[in-house]
Amino acid sequence: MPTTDREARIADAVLDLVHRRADFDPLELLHDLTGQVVALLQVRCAGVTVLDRDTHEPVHVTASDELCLALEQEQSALGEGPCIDSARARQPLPVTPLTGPPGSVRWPRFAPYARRAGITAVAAVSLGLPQMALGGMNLMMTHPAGVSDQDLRLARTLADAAAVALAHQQQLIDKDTVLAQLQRALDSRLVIEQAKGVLSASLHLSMDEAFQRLRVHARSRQQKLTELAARIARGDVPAELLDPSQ
Amino acid sequence: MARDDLPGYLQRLRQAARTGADLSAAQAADAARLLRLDAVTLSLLPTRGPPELLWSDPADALGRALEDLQTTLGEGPTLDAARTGQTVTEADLSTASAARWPLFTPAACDTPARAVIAHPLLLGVVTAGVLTGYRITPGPLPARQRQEITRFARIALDLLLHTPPHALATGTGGPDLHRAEVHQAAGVLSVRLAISIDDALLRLRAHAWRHNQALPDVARAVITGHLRLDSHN
Repeated sequence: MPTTDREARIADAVLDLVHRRADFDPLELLHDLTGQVVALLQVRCAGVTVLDRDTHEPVHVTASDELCLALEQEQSALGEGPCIDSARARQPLPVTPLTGPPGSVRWPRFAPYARRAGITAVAAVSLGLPQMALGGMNLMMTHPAGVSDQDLRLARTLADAAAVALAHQQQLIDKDTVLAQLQRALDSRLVIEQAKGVLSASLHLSMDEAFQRLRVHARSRQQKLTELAARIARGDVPAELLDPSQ
Repeated sequence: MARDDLPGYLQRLRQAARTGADLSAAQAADAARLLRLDAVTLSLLPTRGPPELLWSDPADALGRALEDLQTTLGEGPTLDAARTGQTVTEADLSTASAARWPLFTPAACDTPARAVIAHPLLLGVVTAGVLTGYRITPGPLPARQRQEITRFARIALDLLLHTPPHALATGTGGPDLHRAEVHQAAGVLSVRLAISIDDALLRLRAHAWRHNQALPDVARAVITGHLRLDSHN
């Protein structure tokens, strides 16, 4: 089967969405997603809205152009619209006319607003996002007959590709946080061992006794063990620690 | 576990990592045998300072000795991998260029180790630690073996990230900080000689180097008072 130019462009689009530097900007990725959709499908414009899972407040809003951005923002302001519906329900929305029911009934305030901008129908796909955020992508159309079920399937695949990249980044961020914690734990351990040595030499204690003294002192003064140890390792041993009678 | 094959071993470790297991799920002796190495070590990088050895085979002194040598001399494959984030290999330490590690290479040749691979544990662009493998027979590591080491390193990083931070920080349970006594000895020396911890660490390393002793042995001698390390020795 010969590869068509469009198929090659689709493959490039998927690769572009998935293959990113580890520190990419999520908003930029979502913006690129809307651009890919507009380039590959017969839609006027595309927009993405990401909602906080608990509050349903918009976290990210982006779109392929200014018109669509305004339409996305209007949905957030009104609290109704196809993008918000598909994000909340985690369900795709088939091509739905805005010129009459069901669109005009389902979104009584958003539908007339979109119509004034020349949009006659919308469709949406949901975005599977990490950290339990909810997201949806809108496809805004002026000629809905040009958009098939297969086209919506392609839009969903592109949205999934972007979601994979976002999930991967979130995983890295989570692991980064864990690593930073672990490295700080190792830092603490090193100064604690050093402080044990300082106390053991200063007070002629065994290492175990020195550690015990360190812990008791930190606890009785509600100090962090690490901070006390770091101070001692710098040579600044609290006088009360050298003379326990105080 | 003795008759296990590598794919099965990696599969089990991957499964363990998925359920939150830490490095205690993997024995360095098993890993070394299945990766066809004679010793493997895993070190974690602190925020500042050289890698700290956390995982090795307790029954095998070779890996620990070579890591201690690198800490003492301030150079070697593990340190290079930690600094550059690149895999570092040397196929034959006995014929290696003296320019690469002028102090480490001759010292390592006094041990049975001949080939080495130091694999950074990378998280995105951050180097978390280093997995180092040693082999007593010289010769380059075949591509397949290197791939297997990479695969193991990836799982080992996941296990490492499951280390309970509190246990590591206080030394209560958690992985064994191999050079704990070196840091204790630095504390002792800093009091005895009225110098900073960093200077005390330097003195410990200098003494180990000059007298061809293992760094932990020097540390123990300082702690027990057998070694004074003032300016006269």
